[in-house]
Amino acid sequence: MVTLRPTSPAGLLLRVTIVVLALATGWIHSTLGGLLFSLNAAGYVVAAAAMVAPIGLAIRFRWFIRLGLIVYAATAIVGWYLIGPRYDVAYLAKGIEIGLITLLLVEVRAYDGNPLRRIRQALRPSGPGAPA
Amino acid sequence: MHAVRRSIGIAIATVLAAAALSACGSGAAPARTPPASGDPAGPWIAISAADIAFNQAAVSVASNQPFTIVFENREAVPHNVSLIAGAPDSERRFEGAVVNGPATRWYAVPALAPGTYRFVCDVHPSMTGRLTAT
Repeated sequence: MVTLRPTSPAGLLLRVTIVVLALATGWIHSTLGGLLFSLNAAGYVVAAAAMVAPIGLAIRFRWFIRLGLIVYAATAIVGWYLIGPRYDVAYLAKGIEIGLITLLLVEVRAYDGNPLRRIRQALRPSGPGAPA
Repeated sequence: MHAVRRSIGIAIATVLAAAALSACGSGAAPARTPPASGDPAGPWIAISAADIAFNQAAVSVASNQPFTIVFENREAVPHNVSLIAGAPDSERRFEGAVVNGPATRWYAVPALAPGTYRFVCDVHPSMTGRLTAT
């Protein structure tokens, strides 16, 4: 387990970079027009806000937000691979999403440990849901 | 801590590599910027896009001879024009480069066999029209 704390300089830099990357790919999608891209952009904005919101619920379930954002970005990449257009802006957006997933995995490894074990803990009636 | 820094470095390198890759092009047929005045040499058709829609529902061209699509993107949203053969093969016959923002581009399209084709925007698959080669 990597020793990293959310309030350390490295932890703060990591979190800020994650938020910036999420907002960047959200902004790119917002410029593409159409309902699907707009919803995708809104999803990234909401996820970015949830990653830094100082609300008890968001803090408690930050691990779940991390996993959700990883799945969200991975789904966007797979969807683009299957039916998306190949052009410069699309490659840039997918590069950002790959970077986003990579940094989120760093946080997962540092703060959450094994995601499956975390999910099992949360599903127990007395799941701890420790903040990260 | 070193592992975290290394991961951040890898992520940044990934983004930069993707940006560099994008500069190599998308594999789509390159679009030429038209001259300030004049029409393309040879047969051509005009297709334009605005409000996430093509302004032409149907166009026709002569079959078995190359032609030019003069594509005008009238909005800030990226669009392109690709041609897909009708049933039964439904194969892609031409893919125009995406035009980012308002601009006019010429697509040089190879000769098409007689038949009906769909023209679509790859960025917005709901944008479609019909091209008939007679």
